[in-house]
Amino acid sequence: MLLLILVRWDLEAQLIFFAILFIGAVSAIFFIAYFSSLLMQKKEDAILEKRDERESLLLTILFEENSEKDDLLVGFKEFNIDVKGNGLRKGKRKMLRQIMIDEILKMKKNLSGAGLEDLYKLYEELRLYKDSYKKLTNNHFQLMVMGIRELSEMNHKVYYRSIYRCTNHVQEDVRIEAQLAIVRLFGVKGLRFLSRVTYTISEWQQMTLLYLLTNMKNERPVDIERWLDSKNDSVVIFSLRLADKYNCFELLEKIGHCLYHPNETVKIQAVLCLKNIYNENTELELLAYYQVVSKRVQIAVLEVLKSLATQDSVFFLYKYLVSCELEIRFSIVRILNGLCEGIDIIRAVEKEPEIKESVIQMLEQINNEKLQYN
Amino acid sequence: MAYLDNYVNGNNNKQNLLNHTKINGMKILIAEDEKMTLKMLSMKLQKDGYEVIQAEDGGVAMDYLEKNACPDLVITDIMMPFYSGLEVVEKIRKDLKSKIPIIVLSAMGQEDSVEEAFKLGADDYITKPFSPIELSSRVKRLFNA
Repeated sequence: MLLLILVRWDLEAQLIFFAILFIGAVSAIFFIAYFSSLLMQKKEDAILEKRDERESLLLTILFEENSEKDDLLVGFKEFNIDVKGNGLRKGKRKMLRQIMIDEILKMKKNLSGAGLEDLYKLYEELRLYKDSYKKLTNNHFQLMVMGIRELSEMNHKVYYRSIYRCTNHVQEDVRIEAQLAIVRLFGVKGLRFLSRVTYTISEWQQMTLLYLLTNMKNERPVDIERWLDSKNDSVVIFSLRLADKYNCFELLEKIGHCLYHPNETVKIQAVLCLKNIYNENTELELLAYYQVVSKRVQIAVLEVLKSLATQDSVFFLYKYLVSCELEIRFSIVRILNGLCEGIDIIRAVEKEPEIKESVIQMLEQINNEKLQYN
Repeated sequence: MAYLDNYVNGNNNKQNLLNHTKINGMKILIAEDEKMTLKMLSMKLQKDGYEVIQAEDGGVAMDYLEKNACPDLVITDIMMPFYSGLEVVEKIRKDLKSKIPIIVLSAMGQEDSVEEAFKLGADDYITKPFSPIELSSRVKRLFNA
Protein backbone atom coordinates (compact mmCIF):
# COMPACT_ATOMS: atom_id res chain seq x y z
CA MET A 1 0.00 0.00 0.00
CA LEU A 2 2.76 2.39 1.07
CA LEU A 3 4.74 1.43 -2.00
CA LEU A 4 1.80 2.25 -4.27
CA ILE A 5 1.40 5.68 -2.72
CA LEU A 6 5.13 6.27 -2.99
CA VAL A 7 5.16 5.35 -6.69
CA ARG A 8 2.40 7.84 -7.42
CA TRP A 9 4.29 10.67 -5.69
CA ASP A 10 6.70 12.78 -7.70
CA LEU A 11 10.45 12.62 -7.04
CA GLU A 12 10.52 15.69 -4.78
CA ALA A 13 7.83 14.31 -2.47
CA GLN A 14 9.63 10.98 -2.30
CA LEU A 15 12.88 12.70 -1.33
CA ILE A 16 11.15 14.69 1.43
CA PHE A 17 9.55 11.49 2.73
CA PHE A 18 12.87 9.64 2.94
CA ALA A 19 14.58 12.63 4.53
CA ILE A 20 11.93 12.73 7.25
CA LEU A 21 12.24 8.97 7.71
CA PHE A 22 16.02 9.25 8.04
CA ILE A 23 15.89 12.12 10.54
CA GLY A 24 13.29 10.19 12.56
CA ALA A 25 15.48 7.09 12.68
CA VAL A 26 18.58 9.05 13.70
CA SER A 27 16.65 10.88 16.42
CA ALA A 28 15.26 7.59 17.73
CA ILE A 29 18.73 6.08 17.92
CA PHE A 30 20.04 9.18 19.65
CA PHE A 31 17.27 9.17 22.26
CA ILE A 32 17.64 5.44 22.92
CA ALA A 33 21.39 5.86 23.41
CA TYR A 34 20.90 8.88 25.64
CA PHE A 35 18.32 7.23 27.89
CA SER A 36 20.32 3.99 28.05
CA SER A 37 23.38 5.90 29.21
CA LEU A 38 21.23 7.70 31.80
CA LEU A 39 19.92 4.37 33.04
CA MET A 40 23.41 2.90 33.18
CA GLN A 41 24.71 5.92 35.06
CA LYS A 42 21.86 5.56 37.54
CA LYS A 43 22.67 1.90 38.02
CA GLU A 44 26.36 2.64 38.51
CA ASP A 45 25.53 5.33 41.08
CA ALA A 46 23.32 2.87 42.93
CA ILE A 47 26.12 0.29 42.98
CA LEU A 48 28.56 2.92 44.20
CA GLU A 49 26.18 3.83 46.97
CA LYS A 50 25.86 0.17 47.98
CA ARG A 51 29.64 -0.14 47.99
CA ASP A 52 29.98 2.85 50.31
CA GLU A 53 27.31 1.39 52.60
CA ARG A 54 29.09 -1.95 52.83
CA GLU A 55 32.44 -0.28 53.33
CA SER A 56 31.08 1.66 56.30
CA LEU A 57 29.44 -1.49 57.62
CA LEU A 58 32.72 -3.38 57.43
CA LEU A 59 34.66 -0.59 59.10
CA THR A 60 32.11 -0.48 61.89
CA ILE A 61 32.19 -4.25 62.37
CA LEU A 62 35.98 -4.27 62.41
CA PHE A 63 36.73 -1.25 64.54
CA GLU A 64 33.72 -0.63 66.77
CA GLU A 65 34.67 -2.53 69.89
CA ASN A 66 31.21 -2.86 71.35
CA SER A 67 29.31 -3.40 68.11
CA GLU A 68 26.97 -6.37 67.88
CA LYS A 69 27.55 -7.82 64.44
CA ASP A 70 24.08 -9.30 64.15
CA ASP A 71 22.42 -5.99 65.00
CA LEU A 72 24.50 -4.18 62.40
CA LEU A 73 23.60 -6.69 59.71
CA VAL A 74 19.85 -6.48 60.27
CA GLY A 75 19.20 -3.95 57.52
CA PHE A 76 21.17 -5.93 54.95
CA LYS A 77 18.71 -8.44 53.53
CA GLU A 78 21.27 -10.30 51.42
CA PHE A 79 22.87 -11.72 54.56
CA ASN A 80 19.65 -13.00 56.06
CA ILE A 81 19.88 -16.75 55.58
CA ASP A 82 16.68 -17.69 57.38
CA VAL A 83 14.24 -16.21 54.86
CA LYS A 84 14.13 -17.90 51.50
CA GLY A 85 15.12 -15.38 48.83
CA ASN A 86 15.45 -12.78 51.61
CA GLY A 87 12.89 -10.58 49.87
CA LEU A 88 15.38 -9.81 47.15
CA ARG A 89 15.52 -10.84 43.52
CA LYS A 90 18.14 -13.53 42.97
CA GLY A 91 20.22 -11.28 40.72
CA LYS A 92 20.17 -8.38 43.14
CA ARG A 93 21.03 -10.58 46.10
CA LYS A 94 23.97 -12.03 44.17
CA MET A 95 25.18 -8.56 43.22
CA LEU A 96 24.96 -7.23 46.78
CA ARG A 97 26.83 -10.23 48.18
CA GLN A 98 29.51 -9.78 45.51
CA ILE A 99 29.90 -6.15 46.53
CA MET A 100 30.52 -7.33 50.09
CA ILE A 101 33.13 -9.86 48.90
CA ASP A 102 34.87 -7.15 46.87
CA GLU A 103 34.95 -4.81 49.85
CA ILE A 104 36.30 -7.53 52.15
CA LEU A 105 39.06 -8.33 49.64
CA LYS A 106 39.89 -4.63 49.29
CA MET A 107 40.17 -4.25 53.05
CA LYS A 108 42.20 -7.42 53.38
CA LYS A 109 45.08 -5.79 51.51
CA ASN A 110 45.49 -3.29 54.34
CA LEU A 111 45.13 -5.54 57.35
CA SER A 112 47.26 -8.04 59.18
CA GLY A 113 47.07 -9.76 62.55
CA ALA A 114 43.81 -9.78 64.46
CA GLY A 115 42.10 -7.45 61.97
CA LEU A 116 42.75 -9.91 59.18
CA GLU A 117 41.46 -12.81 61.27
CA ASP A 118 38.27 -10.84 61.87
CA LEU A 119 37.79 -10.43 58.13
CA TYR A 120 38.27 -14.19 57.57
CA LYS A 121 35.69 -14.85 60.28
CA LEU A 122 33.20 -12.46 58.75
CA TYR A 123 33.59 -14.11 55.33
CA GLU A 124 32.75 -17.44 56.97
CA GLU A 125 29.88 -16.13 59.07
CA LEU A 126 28.18 -14.46 56.12
CA ARG A 127 28.70 -17.68 54.13
CA LEU A 128 30.24 -15.70 51.32
CA TYR A 129 32.38 -18.74 50.51
CA LYS A 130 29.26 -20.30 49.01
CA ASP A 131 29.08 -17.51 46.44
CA SER A 132 32.78 -17.96 45.67
CA TYR A 133 32.36 -21.72 45.32
CA LYS A 134 29.44 -21.23 42.91
CA LYS A 135 31.75 -19.22 40.71
CA LEU A 136 34.41 -21.92 40.92
CA THR A 137 31.95 -24.49 39.61
CA ASN A 138 30.75 -22.25 36.78
CA ASN A 139 31.70 -22.95 33.17
CA HIS A 140 32.91 -19.43 32.41
CA PHE A 141 36.61 -19.39 33.08
CA GLN A 142 36.61 -15.73 34.23
CA LEU A 143 34.14 -16.63 36.99
CA MET A 144 36.15 -19.72 37.91
CA VAL A 145 39.26 -17.55 38.29
CA MET A 146 37.33 -15.11 40.49
CA GLY A 147 35.99 -17.91 42.68
CA ILE A 148 39.39 -19.52 43.13
CA ARG A 149 41.00 -16.18 43.98
CA GLU A 150 38.32 -15.27 46.52
CA LEU A 151 38.48 -18.62 48.31
CA SER A 152 42.26 -18.63 48.53
CA GLU A 153 42.57 -14.96 49.48
CA MET A 154 40.09 -15.56 52.30
CA ASN A 155 42.02 -18.65 53.41
CA HIS A 156 38.99 -20.93 52.95
CA LYS A 157 40.37 -24.46 52.67
CA VAL A 158 37.17 -26.52 52.54
CA TYR A 159 36.99 -26.61 48.73
CA TYR A 160 40.69 -27.26 48.19
CA ARG A 161 40.00 -30.43 46.21
CA SER A 162 38.08 -28.52 43.56
CA ILE A 163 40.86 -25.94 43.41
CA TYR A 164 43.51 -28.64 43.22
CA ARG A 165 41.74 -30.23 40.24
CA CYS A 166 42.03 -26.89 38.43
CA THR A 167 45.84 -26.81 38.73
CA ASN A 168 46.02 -28.77 35.47
CA HIS A 169 42.98 -27.11 33.86
CA VAL A 170 42.99 -26.74 30.11
CA GLN A 171 42.29 -23.00 30.41
CA GLU A 172 45.54 -21.20 31.24
CA ASP A 173 44.05 -18.45 33.44
CA VAL A 174 42.22 -21.00 35.59
CA ARG A 175 45.34 -23.14 35.86
CA ILE A 176 47.52 -20.19 36.89
CA GLU A 177 45.07 -18.98 39.52
CA ALA A 178 44.54 -22.49 40.92
CA GLN A 179 48.29 -23.10 41.24
CA LEU A 180 48.76 -19.82 43.08
CA ALA A 181 45.72 -20.49 45.24
CA ILE A 182 46.86 -23.92 46.35
CA VAL A 183 50.29 -22.54 47.29
CA ARG A 184 48.66 -19.58 49.04
CA LEU A 185 46.54 -22.02 51.08
CA PHE A 186 49.09 -24.74 51.83
CA GLY A 187 52.56 -23.24 51.25
CA VAL A 188 55.21 -25.68 50.01
CA LYS A 189 52.82 -28.59 50.56
CA GLY A 190 50.63 -27.12 47.85
CA LEU A 191 53.45 -27.63 45.37
CA ARG A 192 52.47 -31.25 44.96
CA PHE A 193 50.52 -30.15 41.88
CA LEU A 194 53.93 -30.26 40.19
CA SER A 195 53.64 -34.05 40.13
CA ARG A 196 50.60 -33.96 37.90
CA VAL A 197 50.81 -30.76 35.85
CA THR A 198 51.24 -31.49 32.16
CA TYR A 199 51.10 -27.94 30.82
CA THR A 200 54.07 -25.60 30.73
CA ILE A 201 54.54 -23.40 33.79
CA SER A 202 55.53 -20.02 32.39
CA GLU A 203 58.57 -18.10 33.64
CA TRP A 204 56.26 -15.44 35.07
CA GLN A 205 54.22 -18.05 36.92
CA GLN A 206 57.39 -19.61 38.33
CA MET A 207 58.55 -16.22 39.61
CA THR A 208 55.15 -15.53 41.16
CA LEU A 209 55.12 -18.91 42.91
CA LEU A 210 58.65 -18.37 44.22
CA TYR A 211 57.64 -14.92 45.47
CA LEU A 212 54.63 -16.39 47.28
CA LEU A 213 56.86 -19.01 48.90
CA THR A 214 59.34 -16.35 50.02
CA ASN A 215 56.71 -14.85 52.30
CA MET A 216 55.81 -18.18 53.88
CA LYS A 217 57.19 -20.45 56.56
CA ASN A 218 60.55 -21.76 55.58
CA GLU A 219 59.67 -25.45 55.16
CA ARG A 220 61.35 -27.38 52.37
CA PRO A 221 59.40 -29.16 49.65
CA VAL A 222 60.04 -32.90 49.94
CA ASP A 223 59.49 -34.02 46.37
CA ILE A 224 62.02 -31.91 44.47
CA GLU A 225 64.10 -34.96 43.58
CA ARG A 226 61.10 -36.59 41.92
CA TRP A 227 60.13 -33.42 40.08
CA LEU A 228 63.66 -33.20 38.65
CA ASP A 229 62.78 -36.35 36.68
CA SER A 230 59.51 -34.89 35.37
CA LYS A 231 58.65 -35.21 31.70
CA ASN A 232 57.42 -31.62 31.83
CA ASP A 233 60.55 -29.53 31.23
CA SER A 234 59.06 -26.45 32.93
CA VAL A 235 58.59 -28.54 36.09
CA VAL A 236 62.27 -29.55 35.96
CA ILE A 237 63.29 -25.89 35.56
CA PHE A 238 61.08 -24.83 38.46
CA SER A 239 62.40 -27.68 40.62
CA LEU A 240 65.95 -26.52 39.94
CA ARG A 241 64.92 -23.06 41.08
CA LEU A 242 63.37 -24.57 44.21
CA ALA A 243 66.52 -26.61 44.89
CA ASP A 244 68.50 -23.40 44.61
CA LYS A 245 66.11 -21.42 46.83
CA TYR A 246 66.06 -24.06 49.58
CA ASN A 247 69.81 -24.86 49.32
CA CYS A 248 69.26 -28.57 48.62
CA PHE A 249 72.92 -29.71 48.67
CA GLU A 250 71.83 -33.34 48.74
CA LEU A 251 70.54 -32.88 45.20
CA LEU A 252 73.93 -31.95 43.74
CA GLU A 253 74.27 -35.24 41.86
CA LYS A 254 70.77 -34.96 40.44
CA ILE A 255 71.44 -31.37 39.37
CA GLY A 256 74.58 -32.69 37.68
CA HIS A 257 72.40 -35.06 35.62
CA CYS A 258 70.28 -32.10 34.49
CA LEU A 259 73.39 -30.61 32.86
CA TYR A 260 72.92 -33.25 30.16
CA HIS A 261 69.16 -32.76 29.75
CA PRO A 262 68.06 -32.49 26.09
CA ASN A 263 66.38 -29.12 26.74
CA GLU A 264 68.87 -26.24 26.65
CA THR A 265 66.92 -24.08 29.10
CA VAL A 266 67.04 -26.90 31.65
CA LYS A 267 70.80 -27.12 31.11
CA ILE A 268 71.18 -23.37 31.74
CA GLN A 269 69.06 -23.51 34.89
CA ALA A 270 71.08 -26.50 36.15
CA VAL A 271 74.32 -24.58 35.57
CA LEU A 272 72.98 -21.51 37.39
CA CYS A 273 71.93 -23.73 40.27
CA LEU A 274 75.58 -24.72 40.75
CA LYS A 275 76.37 -21.16 41.79
CA ASN A 276 74.98 -21.96 45.24
CA ILE A 277 75.02 -25.76 45.32
CA TYR A 278 78.52 -27.05 44.60
CA ASN A 279 81.41 -29.08 45.95
CA GLU A 280 85.19 -29.09 45.42
CA ASN A 281 84.86 -30.77 42.00
CA THR A 282 82.24 -28.45 40.52
CA GLU A 283 84.72 -25.92 39.11
CA LEU A 284 86.70 -28.48 37.10
CA GLU A 285 83.53 -30.25 35.98
CA LEU A 286 82.17 -26.96 34.67
CA LEU A 287 85.41 -26.28 32.77
CA ALA A 288 85.12 -29.66 31.05
CA TYR A 289 81.40 -29.11 30.44
CA TYR A 290 82.06 -25.69 28.86
CA GLN A 291 83.79 -27.31 25.90
CA VAL A 292 80.84 -29.44 24.83
CA VAL A 293 77.92 -27.01 25.10
CA SER A 294 76.30 -24.23 23.04
CA LYS A 295 77.09 -20.53 23.38
CA ARG A 296 74.03 -19.83 25.57
CA VAL A 297 75.05 -22.50 28.05
CA GLN A 298 78.68 -21.36 27.93
CA ILE A 299 77.60 -17.87 29.00
CA ALA A 300 75.75 -19.43 31.96
CA VAL A 301 78.87 -21.44 32.87
CA LEU A 302 80.97 -18.27 32.84
CA GLU A 303 78.35 -16.55 35.00
CA VAL A 304 78.78 -19.29 37.61
CA LEU A 305 82.56 -19.28 37.28
CA LYS A 306 82.51 -15.61 38.30
CA SER A 307 81.86 -16.85 41.82
CA LEU A 308 83.49 -20.30 41.69
CA ALA A 309 86.68 -19.79 39.63
CA THR A 310 90.03 -20.25 41.35
CA GLN A 311 93.60 -20.31 40.00
CA ASP A 312 92.75 -23.75 38.52
CA SER A 313 90.61 -22.00 35.90
CA VAL A 314 93.18 -19.41 34.79
CA PHE A 315 94.98 -21.51 32.16
CA PHE A 316 91.69 -22.66 30.67
CA LEU A 317 90.27 -19.13 30.56
CA TYR A 318 93.39 -17.74 28.83
CA LYS A 319 92.98 -20.44 26.18
CA TYR A 320 89.42 -19.30 25.38
CA LEU A 321 90.19 -15.59 25.65
CA VAL A 322 91.90 -15.60 22.25
CA SER A 323 89.44 -17.67 20.32
CA CYS A 324 86.03 -16.68 21.56
CA GLU A 325 83.31 -14.15 20.64
CA LEU A 326 83.08 -10.65 22.10
CA GLU A 327 80.31 -11.41 24.64
CA ILE A 328 82.10 -14.48 25.94
CA ARG A 329 85.44 -12.68 25.93
CA PHE A 330 84.00 -9.95 28.13
CA SER A 331 82.79 -12.52 30.66
CA ILE A 332 86.19 -14.24 30.63
CA VAL A 333 88.03 -10.93 31.13
CA ARG A 334 85.72 -10.16 34.04
CA ILE A 335 86.55 -13.50 35.70
CA LEU A 336 90.28 -13.19 35.00
CA ASN A 337 90.31 -9.67 36.39
CA GLY A 338 89.26 -11.12 39.73
CA LEU A 339 91.98 -13.79 39.60
CA CYS A 340 95.05 -12.04 38.17
CA GLU A 341 96.56 -8.66 37.39
CA GLY A 342 95.18 -6.72 34.44
CA ILE A 343 98.65 -6.47 32.90
CA ASP A 344 98.96 -10.28 32.81
CA ILE A 345 95.67 -10.52 30.91
CA ILE A 346 96.91 -7.99 28.35
CA ARG A 347 100.21 -9.86 27.99
CA ALA A 348 98.34 -13.09 27.27
CA VAL A 349 96.86 -11.53 24.10
CA GLU A 350 99.99 -9.58 23.11
CA LYS A 351 100.28 -11.36 19.78
CA GLU A 352 96.70 -10.49 18.72
CA PRO A 353 96.52 -6.67 18.38
CA GLU A 354 92.76 -6.56 17.76
CA ILE A 355 91.93 -8.75 20.72
CA LYS A 356 94.42 -6.86 22.85
CA GLU A 357 92.67 -3.58 22.06
CA SER A 358 89.25 -4.98 23.01
CA VAL A 359 90.63 -6.56 26.21
CA ILE A 360 92.09 -3.18 27.26
CA GLN A 361 88.72 -1.50 26.70
CA MET A 362 86.95 -4.23 28.66
CA LEU A 363 89.36 -3.90 31.57
CA GLU A 364 88.79 -0.15 31.61
CA GLN A 365 85.04 -0.65 31.69
CA ILE A 366 85.25 -3.22 34.49
CA ASN A 367 87.45 -0.92 36.55
CA ASN A 368 85.13 2.03 35.94
CA GLU A 369 82.19 -0.11 37.12
CA LYS A 370 84.13 -1.01 40.26
CA LEU A 371 84.85 2.65 40.96
CA GLN A 372 81.23 3.56 40.36
CA TYR A 373 79.71 0.91 42.62
CA ASN A 374 82.24 0.92 45.46
CA MET B 1 32.35 8.69 59.38
CA ALA B 2 31.28 12.24 60.15
CA TYR B 3 33.44 14.89 58.63
CA LEU B 4 33.04 18.07 60.58
CA ASP B 5 35.17 20.28 58.48
CA ASN B 6 36.08 20.34 54.83
CA TYR B 7 39.35 21.96 54.09
CA VAL B 8 39.65 23.90 50.84
CA ASN B 9 42.98 23.74 49.05
CA GLY B 10 43.87 27.37 48.37
CA ASN B 11 45.45 27.02 44.91
CA ASN B 12 43.35 24.37 43.26
CA ASN B 13 40.08 24.89 45.08
CA LYS B 14 39.96 21.15 45.69
CA GLN B 15 37.37 20.40 48.30
CA ASN B 16 37.16 17.40 50.60
CA LEU B 17 40.83 16.59 50.17
CA LEU B 18 41.39 17.08 53.82
CA ASN B 19 38.86 15.98 56.35
CA HIS B 20 39.01 16.96 59.96
CA THR B 21 37.33 15.08 62.78
CA LYS B 22 37.58 16.14 66.39
CA ILE B 23 37.31 13.48 69.05
CA ASN B 24 39.47 14.66 71.91
CA GLY B 25 42.67 16.52 72.72
CA MET B 26 45.44 14.63 70.89
CA LYS B 27 45.60 15.56 67.23
CA ILE B 28 47.02 13.13 64.65
CA LEU B 29 47.67 14.04 61.02
CA ILE B 30 47.46 11.03 58.67
CA ALA B 31 48.87 11.50 55.18
CA GLU B 32 48.01 8.55 52.94
CA ASP B 33 46.93 8.52 49.30
CA GLU B 34 45.25 5.12 49.39
CA LYS B 35 41.69 5.93 50.42
CA MET B 36 40.87 2.63 52.07
CA THR B 37 44.04 2.65 54.18
CA LEU B 38 43.38 6.26 55.16
CA LYS B 39 39.83 5.41 56.23
CA MET B 40 40.92 2.37 58.21
CA LEU B 41 43.74 4.17 60.00
CA SER B 42 41.47 7.08 60.82
CA MET B 43 38.67 4.88 62.07
CA LYS B 44 40.97 2.91 64.35
CA LEU B 45 42.61 5.99 65.82
CA GLN B 46 39.29 7.75 66.28
CA LYS B 47 38.02 4.73 68.17
CA ASP B 48 41.09 5.05 70.38
CA GLY B 49 40.00 8.60 71.16
CA TYR B 50 42.29 10.73 69.04
CA GLU B 51 41.40 13.67 66.86
CA VAL B 52 42.26 12.75 63.28
CA ILE B 53 43.14 14.99 60.37
CA GLN B 54 43.12 13.21 57.02
CA ALA B 55 45.33 14.30 54.14
CA GLU B 56 44.82 12.47 50.86
CA ASP B 57 48.29 13.21 49.47
CA GLY B 58 51.62 14.78 50.36
CA GLY B 59 50.57 18.15 48.97
CA VAL B 60 47.55 18.43 51.24
CA ALA B 61 49.64 17.35 54.24
CA MET B 62 52.28 20.00 53.48
CA ASP B 63 49.59 22.61 53.00
CA TYR B 64 48.03 21.73 56.35
CA LEU B 65 51.40 21.87 58.12
CA GLU B 66 52.14 25.30 56.63
CA LYS B 67 48.81 26.84 57.52
CA ASN B 68 48.11 25.26 60.91
CA ALA B 69 49.80 24.51 64.17
CA CYS B 70 51.69 21.24 64.24
CA PRO B 71 49.57 18.23 65.25
CA ASP B 72 50.64 16.04 68.19
CA LEU B 73 51.69 13.16 65.94
CA VAL B 74 52.05 12.56 62.22
CA ILE B 75 51.55 9.28 60.37
CA THR B 76 52.68 9.51 56.77
CA ASP B 77 52.89 7.12 53.88
CA ILE B 78 56.22 7.16 52.04
CA MET B 79 55.02 6.97 48.44
CA MET B 80 52.51 9.75 47.76
CA PRO B 81 51.71 12.11 44.92
CA PHE B 82 53.04 15.71 44.91
CA TYR B 83 55.22 15.29 48.01
CA SER B 84 56.58 12.05 49.39
CA GLY B 85 56.44 11.03 53.04
CA LEU B 86 60.17 11.70 53.25
CA GLU B 87 59.60 15.31 52.24
CA VAL B 88 56.85 15.61 54.85
CA VAL B 89 59.26 14.31 57.52
CA GLU B 90 61.95 16.70 56.30
CA LYS B 91 59.58 19.65 56.43
CA ILE B 92 58.51 18.89 60.00
CA ARG B 93 62.06 18.44 61.24
CA LYS B 94 63.96 21.04 59.22
CA ASP B 95 61.53 23.80 58.27
CA LEU B 96 59.10 23.66 61.18
CA LYS B 97 61.82 22.54 63.60
CA SER B 98 59.24 20.44 65.41
CA LYS B 99 60.00 17.39 67.52
CA ILE B 100 56.56 15.81 67.30
CA PRO B 101 56.57 12.01 66.89
CA ILE B 102 56.41 10.82 63.28
CA ILE B 103 55.46 7.33 62.12
CA VAL B 104 56.10 6.39 58.49
CA LEU B 105 53.94 3.89 56.67
CA SER B 106 55.82 1.67 54.29
CA ALA B 107 54.95 -1.17 51.98
CA MET B 108 56.91 -4.43 52.03
CA GLY B 109 60.32 -4.01 50.43
CA GLN B 110 60.67 -0.28 51.12
CA GLU B 111 63.37 -0.77 53.74
CA ASP B 112 65.69 1.76 52.08
CA SER B 113 63.05 4.47 52.25
CA VAL B 114 62.32 3.65 55.89
CA GLU B 115 66.02 3.97 56.67
CA GLU B 116 66.06 7.32 54.86
CA ALA B 117 63.02 8.41 56.88
CA PHE B 118 64.80 7.51 60.13
CA LYS B 119 67.81 9.54 59.02
CA LEU B 120 65.52 12.50 58.41
CA GLY B 121 64.05 12.17 61.90
CA ALA B 122 61.13 9.72 61.80
CA ASP B 123 60.51 7.94 65.12
CA ASP B 124 58.87 4.70 64.09
CA TYR B 125 57.45 2.85 61.12
CA ILE B 126 54.53 0.57 60.34
CA THR B 127 54.44 -1.78 57.36
CA LYS B 128 51.34 -2.24 55.24
CA PRO B 129 49.28 -4.35 55.64
CA PHE B 130 49.07 -3.16 59.22
CA SER B 131 47.71 -4.69 62.39
CA PRO B 132 45.22 -2.35 64.10
CA ILE B 133 46.39 -3.45 67.54
CA GLU B 134 50.01 -2.78 66.63
CA LEU B 135 49.07 0.65 65.29
CA SER B 136 47.35 1.57 68.56
CA SER B 137 50.22 0.40 70.72
CA ARG B 138 52.84 2.21 68.65
CA VAL B 139 50.91 5.46 68.76
CA LYS B 140 50.39 5.07 72.50
CA ARG B 141 54.08 4.30 73.02
CA LEU B 142 55.14 7.44 71.16
CA PHE B 143 52.72 9.60 73.11
CA ASN B 144 54.02 8.17 76.36
CA ALA B 145 57.68 8.47 75.38
